[in-house]
Amino acid sequence: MKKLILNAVIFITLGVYGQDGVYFSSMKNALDSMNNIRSLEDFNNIANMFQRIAEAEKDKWLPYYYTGYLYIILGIKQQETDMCDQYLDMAQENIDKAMEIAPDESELHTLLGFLYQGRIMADPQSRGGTYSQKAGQALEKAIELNDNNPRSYYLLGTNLYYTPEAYGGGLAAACPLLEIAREKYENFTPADSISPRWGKEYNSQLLEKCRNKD
Amino acid sequence: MKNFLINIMIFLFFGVAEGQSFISGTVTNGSGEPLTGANIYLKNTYEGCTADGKGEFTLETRLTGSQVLMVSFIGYVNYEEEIVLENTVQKFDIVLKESSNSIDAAVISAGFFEASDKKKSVLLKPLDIVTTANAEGDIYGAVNTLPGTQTVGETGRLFVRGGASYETKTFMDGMLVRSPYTSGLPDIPVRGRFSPFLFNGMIFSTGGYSAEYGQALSSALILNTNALPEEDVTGISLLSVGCGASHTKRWENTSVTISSDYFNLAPYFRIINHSLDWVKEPESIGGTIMFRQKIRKEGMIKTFSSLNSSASSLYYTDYNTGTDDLIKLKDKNFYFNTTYNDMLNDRWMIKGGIACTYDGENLNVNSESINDIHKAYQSRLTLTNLLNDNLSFKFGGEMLYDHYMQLISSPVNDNNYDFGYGNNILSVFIETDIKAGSKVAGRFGVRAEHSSLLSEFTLAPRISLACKTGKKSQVSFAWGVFYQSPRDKYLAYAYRPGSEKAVHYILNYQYRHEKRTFRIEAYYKDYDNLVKYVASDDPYMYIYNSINNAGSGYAKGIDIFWRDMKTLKNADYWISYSFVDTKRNYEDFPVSATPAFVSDHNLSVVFKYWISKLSSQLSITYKYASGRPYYNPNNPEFLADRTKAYQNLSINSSYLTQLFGKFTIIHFSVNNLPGFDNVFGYTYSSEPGADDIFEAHPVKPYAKRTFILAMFISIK
Repeated sequence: MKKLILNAVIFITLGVYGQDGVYFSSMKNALDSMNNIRSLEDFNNIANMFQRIAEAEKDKWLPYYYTGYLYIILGIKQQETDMCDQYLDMAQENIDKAMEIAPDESELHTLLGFLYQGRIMADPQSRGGTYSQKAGQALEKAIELNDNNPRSYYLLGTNLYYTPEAYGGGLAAACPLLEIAREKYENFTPADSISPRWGKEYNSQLLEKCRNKD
Repeated sequence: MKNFLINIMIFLFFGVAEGQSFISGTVTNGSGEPLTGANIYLKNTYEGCTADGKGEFTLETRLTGSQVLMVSFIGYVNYEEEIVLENTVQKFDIVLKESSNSIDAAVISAGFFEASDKKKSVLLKPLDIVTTANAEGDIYGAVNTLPGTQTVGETGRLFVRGGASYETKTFMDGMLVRSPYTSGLPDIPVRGRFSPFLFNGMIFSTGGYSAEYGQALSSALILNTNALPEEDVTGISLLSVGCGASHTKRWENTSVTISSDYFNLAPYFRIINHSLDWVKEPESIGGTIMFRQKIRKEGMIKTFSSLNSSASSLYYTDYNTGTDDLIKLKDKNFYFNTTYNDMLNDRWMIKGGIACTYDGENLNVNSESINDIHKAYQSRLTLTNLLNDNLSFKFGGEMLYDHYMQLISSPVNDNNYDFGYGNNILSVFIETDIKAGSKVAGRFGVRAEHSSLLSEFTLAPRISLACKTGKKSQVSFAWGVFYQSPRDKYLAYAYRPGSEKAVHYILNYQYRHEKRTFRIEAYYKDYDNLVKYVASDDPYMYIYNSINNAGSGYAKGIDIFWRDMKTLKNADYWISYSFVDTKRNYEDFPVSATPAFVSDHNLSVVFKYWISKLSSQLSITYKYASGRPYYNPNNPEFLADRTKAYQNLSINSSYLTQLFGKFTIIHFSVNNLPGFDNVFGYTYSSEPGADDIFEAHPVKPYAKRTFILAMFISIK
């Protein structure tokens, strides 16, 4: 029944706003479902939704972006390195396609940094070195493209947070970056209701640890 | 009631004529398991749904006319079907084929040990090599903890499945490394010339390897160098035996790494207890330059060059003459290779390269001087045609010019001799990789070689098959024929026996689940055409009477490997066990016998533990090898005696820290911590004593325990 209503809504918006309206409302609908995620299956369902939109709207980077984003999360939540990599490969494919459309989009470089962090989580011992460098480079590129993107700073912070102290990481090293990220989040207004806006909550959680440390 | 109202509403909006189509059904895999989460949609539209826990789906749509139904799921090949929608109800039972790239797909694995940090999961990681205790940072030392290898402690070389060390060849980025080991004095183990840090991947083949490689009877060690480094970095290393420095500069698509190192074992040998009578402890200086250039999207040019010079001298007791000989060794080694890799288009892949080796070794025994000069030039080109996901062809050719010269000058009788040869080996090979879905994979190849020196043509067919027996397990089989030119020691003195031959049969079962791997491999290796001669009294061994290819032999055995990275938290261990039964009648053997380098049972237990509180890794390696045969002139039966079993327990620890704000690793290792008293074999005096008994002299490690202390600093 929900489907039926959705179809109806799509057709109505199609009538009123044209094809772009359908795009916008479908994206909004998929994003709204992200608020009610209860299981890994839900993540997958929504990834499927975004994937369908992406395939239907091949000139838009945002659906590929969200598909990639969800695949990264699905990857991180896998127990086995191989499975994790398989999801991250799917994420990479989507990010590649998005980058062909918008090569200079700061959010995409940020997401690439996030993906590299996923690779580390799958096998920290043998990948920590290479991939934390790769992640760092992608995130710095993202900042270069848009200094106001809070997610780049937030991920740079987590990159350091999860790096062993011996390698120059740790909580103390991460805190200044997380603080910058907090400021950027405060001043950040997404371009529209379907633009990326994630990361703020976990950033605050980590910042909480910074405060407790002192 | 609510539904009814909505329906009414929809009807009001769209009118009565606009109907709906229903597409429903199930999505399963080949074994009938539901594929929960599969994406079912109409191509290039927003319409779609996800398969539920039973693999069932229902898709309602208002679209009409011709559409393409798409079904996709991670690890499976996309399903596409053209359908026509006319307010109809259609049912589909869709079976997705597992993608041949899926992680559970069959892969060729008989005789294969792969280490790589690429995404696809492998048995070992490059880091595992560096951190294995007992290996002391040597690639060959680490490979020696894998099944199929023999512990031959006094050499440091690789002996694989009953094969002698010359039967294993090393390749770097596909190019032959003519002299992979450092130059060594008698009974002092050698090391690999190249640092394990240069490589991001390795394939150790214990047999049945691809037709791409040749001229190795038993085994191939295939090393792949790192691609573009991530960023600029300067490294400094300080060791108890030397020091080194390196610098890497990275540009957008280019990188250059320059490094040099200096080793001097004099201070070290003055601290430890050892049995050697050094005149000059080993000293070496060397440098490498690596260049990387990315071309277009997928292309890469890699250049590697290294130059090394070493010298040492000691007094060595010769029990044949009963004298202490002064032996001086000097070695100069140069190795260079350049490779090029690219995709010509979607289907064609090109790989090519050139390599050259110069190795000049000068050995002085008392006043006699022996110069051994090896030169090798190689060029290679391989083309791969990726016809589709399930079929690819690879073919290529290779030219190898091998040149060897020995110059001997003996002031005693004022004689100079020179020996040598040049051999041009031309090879072509073709190989095809076939996958039948995800369950079966096969590789069929053949290699043809022609040697100008031997005027000989050989044809070596090879087959590998892999078949899934379950989701996590597979059985593989390999069969192949391998040829290798006779060794320098015959060819240099104008003897021209033909190539030696081995036929491999390998059966392998592998189970891997999560972070555990179990592998068992049974093999049979049939040696034929081995060089055989009648021993002469010539003390220099330049005369081989009635040399021919009548030698033969066999090796059969079982290798077992178990690795578990899961059971113990922060710990990883592997156990390798090899059993080999081998006999051969070659060289000057009077009868068929087990050669002196073989121990029937070999066991390695490698354990690594990460202590995060101390930012340290602790690694322990235990090795056991049953007794090896040795020649005892007092025993009428040839090679019938056995040494006692060999045991070794080594530990190392690496501590990660910051020094002056720079990332630093402090490394400490002890080899043979408990001080097991090992004997590798015995040499005998050439003349019997008064009681008609030849006196035995054990060959032992030069020190009971050895240690290394090292510090690596990297500056970014």
